[in-house]
Amino acid sequence: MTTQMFGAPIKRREDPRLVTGNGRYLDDLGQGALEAAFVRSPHAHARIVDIDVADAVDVDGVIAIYTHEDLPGKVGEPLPLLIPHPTLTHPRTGYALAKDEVNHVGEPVVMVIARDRYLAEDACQRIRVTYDTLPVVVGVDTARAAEALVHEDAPGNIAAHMVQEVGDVEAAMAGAPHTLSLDLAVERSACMPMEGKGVLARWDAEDGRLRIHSSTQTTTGVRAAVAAKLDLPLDRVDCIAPDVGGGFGVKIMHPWPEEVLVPWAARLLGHEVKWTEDRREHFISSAHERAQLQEVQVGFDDDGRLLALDVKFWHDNGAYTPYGIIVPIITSTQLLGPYKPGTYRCEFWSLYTNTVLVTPYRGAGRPQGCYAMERTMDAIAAYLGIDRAEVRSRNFIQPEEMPYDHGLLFQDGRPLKYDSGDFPASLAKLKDLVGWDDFADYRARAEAEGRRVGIGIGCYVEGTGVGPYEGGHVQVESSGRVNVATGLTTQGQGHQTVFAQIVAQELGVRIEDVHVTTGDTRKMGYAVGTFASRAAVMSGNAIALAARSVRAKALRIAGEALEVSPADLEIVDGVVRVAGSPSTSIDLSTVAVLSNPLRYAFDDAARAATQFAGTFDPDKPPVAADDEPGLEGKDFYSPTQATFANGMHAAIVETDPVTAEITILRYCVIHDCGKMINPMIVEGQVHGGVAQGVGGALYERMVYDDSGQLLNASFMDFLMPYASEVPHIETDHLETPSPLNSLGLKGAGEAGCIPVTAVIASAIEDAEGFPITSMPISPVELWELRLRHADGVATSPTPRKEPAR
Amino acid sequence: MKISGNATLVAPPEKVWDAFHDPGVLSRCLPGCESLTPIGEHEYTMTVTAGVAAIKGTYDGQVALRNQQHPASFTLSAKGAGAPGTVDADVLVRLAPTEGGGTELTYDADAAVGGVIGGVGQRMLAGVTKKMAGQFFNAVDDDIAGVRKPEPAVAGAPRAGAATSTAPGAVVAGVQVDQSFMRGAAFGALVALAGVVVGAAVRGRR
Amino acid sequence: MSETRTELLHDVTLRVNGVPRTASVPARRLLSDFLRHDVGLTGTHVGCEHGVCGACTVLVDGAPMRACLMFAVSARGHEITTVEGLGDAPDARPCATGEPMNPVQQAFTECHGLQCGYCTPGFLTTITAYLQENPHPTEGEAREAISGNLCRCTGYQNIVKSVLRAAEIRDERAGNHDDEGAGA
Repeated sequence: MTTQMFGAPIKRREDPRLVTGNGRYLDDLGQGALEAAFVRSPHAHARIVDIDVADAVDVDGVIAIYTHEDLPGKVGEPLPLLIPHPTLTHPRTGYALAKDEVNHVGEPVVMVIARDRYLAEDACQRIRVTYDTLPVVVGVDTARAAEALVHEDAPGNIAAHMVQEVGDVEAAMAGAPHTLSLDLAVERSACMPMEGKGVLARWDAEDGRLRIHSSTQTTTGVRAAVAAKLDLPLDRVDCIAPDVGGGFGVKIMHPWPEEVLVPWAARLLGHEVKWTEDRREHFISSAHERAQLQEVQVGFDDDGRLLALDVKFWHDNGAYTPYGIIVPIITSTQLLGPYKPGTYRCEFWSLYTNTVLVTPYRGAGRPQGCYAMERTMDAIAAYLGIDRAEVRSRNFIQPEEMPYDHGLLFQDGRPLKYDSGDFPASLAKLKDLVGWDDFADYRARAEAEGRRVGIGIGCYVEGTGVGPYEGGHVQVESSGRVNVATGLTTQGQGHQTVFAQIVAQELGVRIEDVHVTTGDTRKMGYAVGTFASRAAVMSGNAIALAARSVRAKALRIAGEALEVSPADLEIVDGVVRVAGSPSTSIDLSTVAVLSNPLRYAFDDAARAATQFAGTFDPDKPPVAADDEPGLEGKDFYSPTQATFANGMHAAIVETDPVTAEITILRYCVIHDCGKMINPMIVEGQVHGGVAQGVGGALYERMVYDDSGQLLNASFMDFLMPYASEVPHIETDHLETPSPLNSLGLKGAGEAGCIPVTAVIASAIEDAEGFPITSMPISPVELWELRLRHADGVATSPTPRKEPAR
Repeated sequence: MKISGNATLVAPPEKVWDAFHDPGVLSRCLPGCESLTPIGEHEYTMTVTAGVAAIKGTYDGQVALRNQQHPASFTLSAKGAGAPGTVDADVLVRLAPTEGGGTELTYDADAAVGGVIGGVGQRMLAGVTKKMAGQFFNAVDDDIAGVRKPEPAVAGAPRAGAATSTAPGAVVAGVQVDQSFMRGAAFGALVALAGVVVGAAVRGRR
Repeated sequence: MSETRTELLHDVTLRVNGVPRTASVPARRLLSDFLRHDVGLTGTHVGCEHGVCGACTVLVDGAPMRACLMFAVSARGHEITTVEGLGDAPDARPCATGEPMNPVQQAFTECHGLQCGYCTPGFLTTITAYLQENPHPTEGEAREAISGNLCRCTGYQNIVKSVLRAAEIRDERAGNHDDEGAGA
């Protein structure tokens, strides 16, 4: 009996281990290791004058204290610029330990190694660093004004300035019957995985090998970066991701200073060294994202069709740019969503501030782009008095126009060309799910009760599954066990389950026999990483290809052994048999033995294989010239472009007329990520994304003061949603398979969070009747807006000229 | 690595000079000193229990006082290698009289430090060194004033009161990392820079 | 002149998952670190060290407490239950792959109540204690019961479902306490 594995919501194979307390996260490892702690800059911008460690050496159990001067060669050079770009004209990266100056609160200055973390922190507290403070730049406005510079050699605090244009926007705008302008703002938030970063390193002097465990999203990336910094051959460095307690993007950035310093110290001291960050460290020394100021100018006709879209935005990239300008590039391209803009121009400036780095956080710039576009759509609808869903649908790219080339380059440097999607169908499903057309009645009933409600909508398109490639390795052992490896990593997406589902399906084995390893460079040394909603598409397809090659080989060998044509064979539950005549069969485990012609009967499987020992052709070599021993296959998936998922959300919110408290009454999601390997897991990803979106819309912001101090660097003051803040999420889905890969997959990891800020803003605006332009929004801010609008102070989006009549 | 520092002693320069050139004073005041054996004019071999913070070991070293400019300055040279590290150092010591009849001692050291203790970080090494130098000079000053520490035991045996803990700790580069090293080890800076030679007496616990 | 001082150590003995455990630790040793590093039970996780996220929640004499806000010395003489001990409960049963699971653990695996698993131990202990007091919560009550624990992965939807399913399993197992299966 074959169970259909692909597409089945089977329970996760990693769960029994994790719910019984048998997870192995970074800090669970290396119990005998020395531990590191850091002295981090308390100033946002300062020159380092002196570092006095005299009192720290008294601390019992301190092994070593390092500053930048101790870092030799490449270790002391700036950290790498991972993703250069021609428009990133003034890139800057930091040093592993600050050299001469610090550019954000939290930048590491001194590393202490001690017998345990308590003692290391004791020593850190006794180290006195003397600084000369310098002028501080915080916030996009201050950066833009550039009265002070973060980096002397980055004039205007501009790291990058990029313009993309399709069509003649100026002409189209001039000729448009109507135009509107919007000024929008999004504030900083951050990934905040429940487990912070951590590194454990071990230098084996006998083998000359460095083994690094890191709570990372890219073990191949960390391995390569550390090998380069420490001048070690790549094949002498292993990097393994243990169980990782969430990433959401912050762990794709690499190498973190600690990822370089801890291995370096481990080798120098000849002892395992471990570092796990505490929560405050994570706030002030990992990465944030989201902050942008945006100006949109849009030209449209009487029906609300876009004619010209001119977007400018200023992106806060923090003190350094190690991840390049991926986030604003994604904003500028994904902003377009499911619409045809007519003509489009997007100009952005990526600006330095004396704050923590900005690297991708789930959505990676898409939420900001979606926000700009969707607020614009709402403004057009309000201006023309047309239903907001209707305006959107008039601008949709239609299914028959797929594939649709926007004429821009996506974050992977390849064409922004949507492969498939049925936006009208998605919208119809959403309207049905939320009851869009019935809302007017609902609102009337609510108003009769003295309640204030509103409905919001947001649509997005998400480029997923970016390359360059991922690999899959599938191997059948003589016991029947199937080992599967892929190089990218896992942070809760259930890879041990979904990849096993693919292999079980493709190979015809029981899923219980399939064991998946991710994120271990020893098992698969070629990989990119887990980000950009790419794992299912990239590794899923690579693993499928590998499994298929194993299947083909198994059928060939089985065919020879059974003396039938491979075309007549099927594999069911790990048994290769003649379709329709199942008694003629051979176990896959036996095939594995036969594939490796040693013919030693070292176990039962090998003994069983000996009955087939006579069925070979004496004129052929045991291992053919173009073949290899073993029942295994390795393959890579490398697409020409990303594949584009899409979704639409709607929310009904209630605002309290007196207190301005905001409650989400209903939240509805339509998502289309093509075919789904495990719908339960996809839905879980959507739920998590929506929760982060709710956090970003209503609760989460990084509060910096003018001197660059992060005022809310703890969970007490940085408000992430508990269960009480996340509404019940209603989902439905569409499947427009991707034509770009044989499994029809599109990515789904980031989907849930992309439109939420736009949707909530839309709903609050609908409830209140005035524009919401700055998010997140708190009850206090809503209340103040109400006062301003009551006074007639604040204005609606500005029409540039009189509507044509 | 260059380390400089200074100390103010109560005793006048001539007495300080004499103290440094008296092997009895050195063996009493150099903390962790287990034996001091003259092998020539102002040249000694020495066994000390030494280390930097938690990295402890026993070292055999050779120390010589050269370039004597009585009573104003001399150079102390030290060379050695051992399990926890290697040192090759020259320290210029200057003694100047103060108004109150005491001595302003300044030292400028030029040292190459390698091995495990060389891997603990420059500022740590410098910090420990200066701290221990201060302790040594204070001990010399006290000794001159008649406050005496007990003579070291027979060469080779652990000195009474020296830090000898058997508390388990990490093993760093094959060297036992001992938490109690610093306790009771008023260790002269000169010895930290000096006296490490590969010796059979290294008590490396692997 | 400052001298190195070794911290004064205190002998701490407490029962963890029914087993007496002893270690010598400084007074400032957090219970979370004691459990993880001195006792070697790494199932309890540390997410914030300031008592907000709840990942470190253990049961102290049956009541959920933040282990990061307690000192090991103050837990002396008390009965601690960590996630590793939940499978010892009388209503624990082996799951399909053999691990003994209490109803809450079983429910989480059935309802996809975890993704990365880092916050999960804190939820499991919290909900186990909650259902002792409130064996039949409504969905709203279930949601409120878990609103002191942070999860960044799941959006809580399936955790709420897990609470309700756990209540069901508790009832099922209470009704069948004579059946086969390795009752703890």
